[in-house]
Amino acid sequence: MENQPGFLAMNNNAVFGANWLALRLKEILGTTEVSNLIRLSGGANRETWSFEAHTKEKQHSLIMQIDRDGMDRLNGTCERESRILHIAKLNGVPVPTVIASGFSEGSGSRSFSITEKMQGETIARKILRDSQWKNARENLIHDMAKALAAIHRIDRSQFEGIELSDVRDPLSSLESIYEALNDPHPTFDFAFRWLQANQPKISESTFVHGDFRLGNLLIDTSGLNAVLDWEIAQFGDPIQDLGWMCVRAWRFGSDQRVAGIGSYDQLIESYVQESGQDVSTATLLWWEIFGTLRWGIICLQMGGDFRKGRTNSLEIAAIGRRVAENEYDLLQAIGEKLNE
Amino acid sequence: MSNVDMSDWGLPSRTNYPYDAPSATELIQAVEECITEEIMPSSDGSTKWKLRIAANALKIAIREIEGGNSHRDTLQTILTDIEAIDMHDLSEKIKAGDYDDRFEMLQEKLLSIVTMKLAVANPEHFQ
Repeated sequence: MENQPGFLAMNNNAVFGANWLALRLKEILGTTEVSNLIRLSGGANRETWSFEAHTKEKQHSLIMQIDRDGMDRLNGTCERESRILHIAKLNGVPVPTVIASGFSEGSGSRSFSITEKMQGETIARKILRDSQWKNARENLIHDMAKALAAIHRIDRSQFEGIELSDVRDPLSSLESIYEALNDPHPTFDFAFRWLQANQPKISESTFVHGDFRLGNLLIDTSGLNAVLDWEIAQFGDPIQDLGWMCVRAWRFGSDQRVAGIGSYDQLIESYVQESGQDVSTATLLWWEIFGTLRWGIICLQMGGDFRKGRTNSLEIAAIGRRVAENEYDLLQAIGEKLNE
Repeated sequence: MSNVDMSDWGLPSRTNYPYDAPSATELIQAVEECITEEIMPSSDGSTKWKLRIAANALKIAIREIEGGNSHRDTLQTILTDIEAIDMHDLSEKIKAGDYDDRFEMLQEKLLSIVTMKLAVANPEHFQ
């Protein structure tokens, strides 16, 4: 990794201020000045900053992400994600170019990454409704299928040295997360029971993104510009990435089944064309239902984090109350299958 | 001059004695309306987004206070119906396969419970 041109791992004191940033960027890009340092949305696990770095010749628009202090590191770190981005880029997945990444020193070490700032929109409701994204919407199902096929095709040997979980039994993995919450929800038990009884043959384990959906994709006016948020990338059944974006929460109020944009048939046709791998409607539906259960359990977990005082975020508290939406969707979807 | 106080006439009877009006629900309602009608229109970006979440959370709180008692009774009736003591017990019985031969019935009962929860959490989610 450290030998890649333009890619410099850095050590530093645990101060991520504008001065520190200017100093580091001087080493990497020959930057003379940093300006417009603006804090962007705060994810749960990291801070995101946007800024301009000036060199003699040109101005670079960059994004810096830093691990948030005191958070569980279950979802990986910025430094780890930058290594994944680099591999994804080499394999033709549309992602931002990594400029630098590294760790702060001392106890409570935080990692960071600096990437190019790419153009586009991530807010799903705008992408799904505003007329300026009409052309993008027409291309998106195909673009997403193509990006997923590229992600799933990456040979796993390329990730040597990066800690990635290999989920061979997705139901047991999810069930142990649910059981650890110790907050019984009979509808979730019902869904586990149905999923166990109807589990399709697991496809060969590949690299998967794990959170592929609008909100984590940068969309420009012609379609998909970059795949972001690789925090929970892992190895597993590739069809989970397709099913996840069909979960109702990721349709953002639209009635179109796939990412709020298209149909099962469109997604399957594009994915088969791009990947050469067959996907059945039944398998896709199983993974959509699995995804709904997974999001329901994440909502339950977030509500629990708020109650246990791990966060005082109103947004996370409110997500706790979205458990019932997923329970309802699970009962509807499984109910339809029972009545067939 | 009559000494009967007529200022409350026409209003719903008060239920929160010994406290004064407005009641908890009425106060939450007032805050929600203040956020939605007065503060939100002049805000934008992440502030507006947070205010929308806040107003929505208050609406959930009102629906929960109003629905609470009757929903609790209905839940108990459904649980008794399917021979479960409480939600924890129902969970354990589903896991043990106790309802595998009555899976459609179980789905209907769970849907009744979840429908009550969703009516409070997000009634807009019903298709």
